Amino acid sequence: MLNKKGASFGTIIAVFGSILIALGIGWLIAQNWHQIPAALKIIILLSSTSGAYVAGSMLRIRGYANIGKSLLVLGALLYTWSIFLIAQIFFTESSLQGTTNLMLIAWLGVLAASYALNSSASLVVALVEFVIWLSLQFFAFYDDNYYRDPSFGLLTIIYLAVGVLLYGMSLLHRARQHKFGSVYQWWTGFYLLLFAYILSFQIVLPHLWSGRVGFSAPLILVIVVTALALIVMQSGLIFAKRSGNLNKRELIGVSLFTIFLMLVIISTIYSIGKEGYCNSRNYNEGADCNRFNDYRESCLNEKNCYWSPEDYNGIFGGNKNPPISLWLVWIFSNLVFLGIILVIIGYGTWQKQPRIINLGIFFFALDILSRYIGFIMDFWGYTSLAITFIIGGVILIIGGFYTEKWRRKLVAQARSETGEIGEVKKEEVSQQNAVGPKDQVIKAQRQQIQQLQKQVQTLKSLIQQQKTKKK
Amino acid sequence: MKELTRLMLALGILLGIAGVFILYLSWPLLTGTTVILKTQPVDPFDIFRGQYMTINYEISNVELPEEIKEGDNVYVLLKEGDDKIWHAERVSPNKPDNGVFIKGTARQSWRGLTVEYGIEQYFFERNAELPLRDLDVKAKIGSSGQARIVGLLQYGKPINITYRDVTLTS
Repeated sequence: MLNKKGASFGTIIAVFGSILIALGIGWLIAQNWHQIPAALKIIILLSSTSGAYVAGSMLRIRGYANIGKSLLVLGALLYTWSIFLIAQIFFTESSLQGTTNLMLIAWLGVLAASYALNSSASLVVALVEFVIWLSLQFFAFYDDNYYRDPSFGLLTIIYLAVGVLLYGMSLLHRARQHKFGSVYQWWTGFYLLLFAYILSFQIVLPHLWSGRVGFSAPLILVIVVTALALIVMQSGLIFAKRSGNLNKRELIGVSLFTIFLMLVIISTIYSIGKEGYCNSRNYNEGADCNRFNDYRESCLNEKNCYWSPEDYNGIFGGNKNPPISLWLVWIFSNLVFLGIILVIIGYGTWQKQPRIINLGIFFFALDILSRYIGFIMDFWGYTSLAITFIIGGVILIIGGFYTEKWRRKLVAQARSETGEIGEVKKEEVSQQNAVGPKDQVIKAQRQQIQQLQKQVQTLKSLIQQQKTKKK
Repeated sequence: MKELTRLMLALGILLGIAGVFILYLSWPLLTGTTVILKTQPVDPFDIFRGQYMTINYEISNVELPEEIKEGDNVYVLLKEGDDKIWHAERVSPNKPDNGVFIKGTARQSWRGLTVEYGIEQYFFERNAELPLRDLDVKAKIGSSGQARIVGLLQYGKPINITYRDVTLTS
């Protein structure tokens, strides 16, 4: 795909190659781990990490930016791997908190290296590691408390706050014209879409508040992450306004959809229904929890009991109809998801950013596919399923054709306005002409060479004439 | 900033973090007191870090003072017995002024309130063959009570770990 700002196909392939090399080195070392002395193990790990970073930087200097990028990704992955393996050499605790601490160390290193090297690809690894670390930390807090189950509702609030944090970082970097600004911007869009996509599944919603929420470490984590996100966003707004880079429409869009997503999360507290099972936590003592079946609040108040909500229309055999309130929240969450998709596509077209348009179109197609599968699973039997698959398949193919046509039109429109050669137009030209664009270029170059040769000939003859005149 | 300066800075940060981390992990091994602790092992697998043995110590199940709750720090004063094994002498929520003591954290489990010391795992590679009974752990404990495993012992001698048919394709 032609895209000056985005990753090229070659880069993506090279990054996949880096991931494979990292895994391969890891397994190769692991196979012979016991034969290698501890000090040598550490030297191998750190030198391979340094080697990848040095090679990546050298290739960038010599103009091989894409391969250099993938080697920096390899370096980031090898560094993360090294931290985990060094911890193993010293037999550190393998509890969830122990693993979380290792991920934190790895993330901090990769993040610092990304900024030092000004590497967008390495920054993406750091962003992924940040989300993994935050998720692990959330669950590690529950690991410390035997009588408390994870409240996924709190986790979704943390994830939403991360979306706001990413947007704030995008504003901060764009205010300074830093190249990471567009990286944070794209990932804010991707992140919010992925978040809204997960919330668009009806099976997810009843589980959001299945755990008890009290004043505890996970709640403090929610408060800290939310406060941090708001501070970063506020700072981003101030700096973006000062530098004249504040886009008010964009800000309104992000704020509105963040509020809508928050509404979806909160409204599930009141809409999930009371149906569910109250189970005993301690099998030996056999606490009598079953009497609280279908009484969520009472169950959550019992220390030795935990709550399993009814899986309405679920793939795990739910057999009860969801309450109307859950349907309403589900419809609302899907409307929010669809709204985000359309706004992102609109934003990409308005800002002439093909990468943003492609992102929106991808999630639009994913939404259609997911809802199609969801509906046939929920409402139809096997015979109807087969017929629905065929009819739906035809609709999807036709829909896919027109969606792709629509996408190409939008991308071409965005590119032609920015002065870039439209990818779609190029494709159309190549299809219409028997001679491909590459051949056309060669032909044109040959003509230029012939013209230049003629000019050289005339110049030579002129010089010859002058020489004879002098004589 | 030039690319080479950037590279030096990045490597400085990464190797610096890794160096501090290695020093932190090896500090008790360099400066600590050697103790031998009695164990009761089981045998799981960690998806993140490979094969390891979870070790349950004799001192994991010490009787705790009533004021200690889940998540609290616990200091266990150790004393060497006639059998050369170090046993718990006294348990306290406060750091002892002298003597050899190990720092742990109170954890709630199906066995009730127990103590974890951060040395409950011993890692080895897949296909390892090693004795699982009558094991003791040789550990070093730093002045702050932080412990690190040195090795596994059986009847006072280091155990022999063998690896069966390890090839690149296994």
